[in-house]
Amino acid sequence: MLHISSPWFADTLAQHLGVDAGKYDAYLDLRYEKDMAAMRQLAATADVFASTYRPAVNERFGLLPEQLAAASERGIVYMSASAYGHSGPWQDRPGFDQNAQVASGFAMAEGQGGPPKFSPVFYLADLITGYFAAAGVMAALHRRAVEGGSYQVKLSLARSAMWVQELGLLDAAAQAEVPETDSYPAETVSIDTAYGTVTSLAPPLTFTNLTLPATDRLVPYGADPPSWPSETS
Amino acid sequence: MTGKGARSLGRGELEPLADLIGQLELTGHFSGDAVMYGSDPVIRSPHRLGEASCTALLLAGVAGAAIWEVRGGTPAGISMDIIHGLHHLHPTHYVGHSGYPSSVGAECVAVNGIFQAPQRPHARRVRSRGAPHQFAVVRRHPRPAPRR
Repeated sequence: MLHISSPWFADTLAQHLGVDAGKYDAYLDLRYEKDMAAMRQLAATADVFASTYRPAVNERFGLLPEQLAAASERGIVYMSASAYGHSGPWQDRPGFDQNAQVASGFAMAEGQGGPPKFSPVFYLADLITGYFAAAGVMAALHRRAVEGGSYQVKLSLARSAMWVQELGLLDAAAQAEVPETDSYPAETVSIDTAYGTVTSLAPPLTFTNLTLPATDRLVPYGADPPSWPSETS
Repeated sequence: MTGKGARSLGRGELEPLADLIGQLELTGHFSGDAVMYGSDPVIRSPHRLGEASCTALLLAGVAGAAIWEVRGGTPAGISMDIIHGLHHLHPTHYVGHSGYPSSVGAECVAVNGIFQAPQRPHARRVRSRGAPHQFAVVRRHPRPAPRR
């Protein structure tokens, strides 16, 4: 995975350490034609393009799904995730996990008749959306391998929160013995990186007959060139 | 971990997962079984938070296993404990850096909350701030040589 970011708007170090293990990290400033051309070239040869910018941002840079599919050399899977969905009056609004919890009614139910509350672990929609995105992208890659073509995988934070509600509600009055916080022990893994030792949750799934790859790569933003690793090594 | 209450996709005990597999048109492309250990509530909430996270992650596993199968791999089974699912709803809280916690800390930012709207007792405002989102492009590894 090649992560492209602006040299001017980096995520915080804590975010970087938490989500960028295993990635190559390159800078591109899409306001400049040279960098924009590099982005188009990468997209034309990519299997997957992922963007969580608002549609207007993707449109401004010519990175809409139809445009990338037309230029793709092998068929592309385009994953886009927004706060409130790809259609409707709120489609262009920005938002984060907690906005989706409130707008979807999740927080109201969590409050159980009192003031609305966020998830007891604070997060919900970011993670559910991310896991669904991984599943949707792989399903699309599977389909492309069989049928060919390009595909768009659409997700939204609000829809993810609504899906959690669709699983049905539990009787909270019968949960006096249930812990209020996540105090269960966790399995973690550590890797040695340019930043020092970084620890995170171990992969949660156990597979039979399939060994998952491990990574010890975690580099600063902009550490890699904006090209595929096999073309630069 | 919970170590109890195993439910199986193959035995028809994971209906939400089966429904999602159908939505992704992967039914019939995953020959293994998916198993979830444990059930909600594992944290005080009216929502099925552990099962929700577990189901979403198992779905990703099913999709990966389907690719593995179509590319000639042996069918794989998948299992997951619901406590892992709960942890993976807030993975940032488990990130450590050189022995110290490295939490993003968004829950500690004052504006990330729900506030009573003035003079509108039934309306509330939610505010949040965070870092800008970014792009990622992915290219698969070169296809391995066919098996002989």
